[in-house]
Amino acid sequence: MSGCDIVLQYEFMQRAFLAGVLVSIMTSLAGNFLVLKRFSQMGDSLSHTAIVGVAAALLFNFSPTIGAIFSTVAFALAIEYFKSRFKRFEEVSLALVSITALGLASVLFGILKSSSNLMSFLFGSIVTIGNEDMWIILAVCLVTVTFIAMFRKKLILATFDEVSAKVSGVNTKLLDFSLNIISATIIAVSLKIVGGLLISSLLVFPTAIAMRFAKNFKYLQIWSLLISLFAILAGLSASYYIDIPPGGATVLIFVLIFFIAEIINIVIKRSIAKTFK
Amino acid sequence: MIELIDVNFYIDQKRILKDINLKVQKGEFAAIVGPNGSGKTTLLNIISGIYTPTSGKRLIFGKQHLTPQDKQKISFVPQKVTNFNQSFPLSVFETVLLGLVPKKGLFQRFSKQDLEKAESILEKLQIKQLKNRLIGELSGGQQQRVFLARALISDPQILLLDEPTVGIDSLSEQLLFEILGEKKKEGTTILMVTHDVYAVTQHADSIICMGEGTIYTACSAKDFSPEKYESVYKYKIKKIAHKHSFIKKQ
Repeated sequence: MSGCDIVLQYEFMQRAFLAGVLVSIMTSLAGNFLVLKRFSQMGDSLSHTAIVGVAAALLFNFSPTIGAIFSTVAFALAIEYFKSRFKRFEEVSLALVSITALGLASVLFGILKSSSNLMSFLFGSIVTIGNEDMWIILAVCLVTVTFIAMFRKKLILATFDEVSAKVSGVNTKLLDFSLNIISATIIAVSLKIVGGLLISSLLVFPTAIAMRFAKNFKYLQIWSLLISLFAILAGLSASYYIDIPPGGATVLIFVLIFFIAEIINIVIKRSIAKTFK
Repeated sequence: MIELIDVNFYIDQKRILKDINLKVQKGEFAAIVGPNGSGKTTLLNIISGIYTPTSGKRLIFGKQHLTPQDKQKISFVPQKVTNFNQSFPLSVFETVLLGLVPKKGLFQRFSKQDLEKAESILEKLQIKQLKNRLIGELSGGQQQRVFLARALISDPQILLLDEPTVGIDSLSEQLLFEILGEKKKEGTTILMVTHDVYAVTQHADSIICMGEGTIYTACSAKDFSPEKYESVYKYKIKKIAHKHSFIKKQ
């Protein structure tokens, strides 16, 4: 039996790997636009808000994934509202929402007393992904892929040059709003696999690394998807073999890829400079 | 084609534009000139629909409220330094094709004709050899040509340009005005914000001279004289040997 066969003989690992693939697809697709719009911090703020939904779900005994979806979408709407109130200081809206969410989550977990599941929601766990979660992740992945496929060109234009897009009749506000709501939902459903504190790494790292090499937007999408898939599957395997949280393992793999990419980039630039000397 | 009637515009109780009345006919090339802070870019933003007038009427194609289809007939060339992320992973060819995106439906791909059109515009603007380069790797003048190509690919009826001659060499500038001249002949209405007074007196049909948020004078380019410009800038100017500049005398 190969290592892969051993890992995949368990049903919970099959679920974790499938969920990992789906999460990689949707986070890398949405992450491309969030990073290029300079909204990376939004993923981080929304991931904190997902923990509120989990706490509420544990307190009132319903699905933590559903709870996280409701709370991230509600807080994403709050971010939109605050952004319109603080037009020249949009990052204030992220700070306000993030702090409020963490405060609320700490109070809810305090009421809950027993918070045995807390660590798995903060840093991810491969054993907690159930069949219901799988269906929800699949549905959100399909919505994300359809949305990006439908509006890919308009999203690129609105991200690259919002003013020109607006002048020529692209509804940039609606696109922004839809992307934010979809990102909030992605964060909520990915919570169990990477954890609330680390989910934003899946939105940011793949694009940040792919940007070092991509020569056009198509390559950016392909590279970021491949990097995301590799990191999350390697993270899940590491979690199984050495019993560490998958979120932390995935983030460390991203960091490693990031540094390798940086070194390759520096070497390439130096060799080009030498050629022209 | 473009008409503003008694337009006023405020930001945070500060009056930025005062009683603007303006008419630009179909196929006219109008230039907006004036000192920094005179309201030129704000006026262009009102015309482009980015800002809504606080009072007064803005009529484009004779309509106050434009449909998305009307807006697709307008192209905008922004001030490059303010509006674009230099590390955006977009090739020159992809950037030019973005000009066709507002007209594309959901899931609709670029046709063979679209790709050929992008190639021919790049050739016309003498940047075809750059088509696979990243937009952020190009010089300011080359980027400006790419933005112009993106604006022209959709065959707009109205072309708005915000200081397109800033930071470009005289050859690029000459090419820009040649192309604008061709588009004007084809019936495109052109409105350009610029500091390059000499160049627009040579190429534009009319010059709108702004100062302190209002139109001081609007006249045909033929009737425009440095004296009119001096009355706005409040200092003496003279044309010097370098054909593209006016400089301060005192």
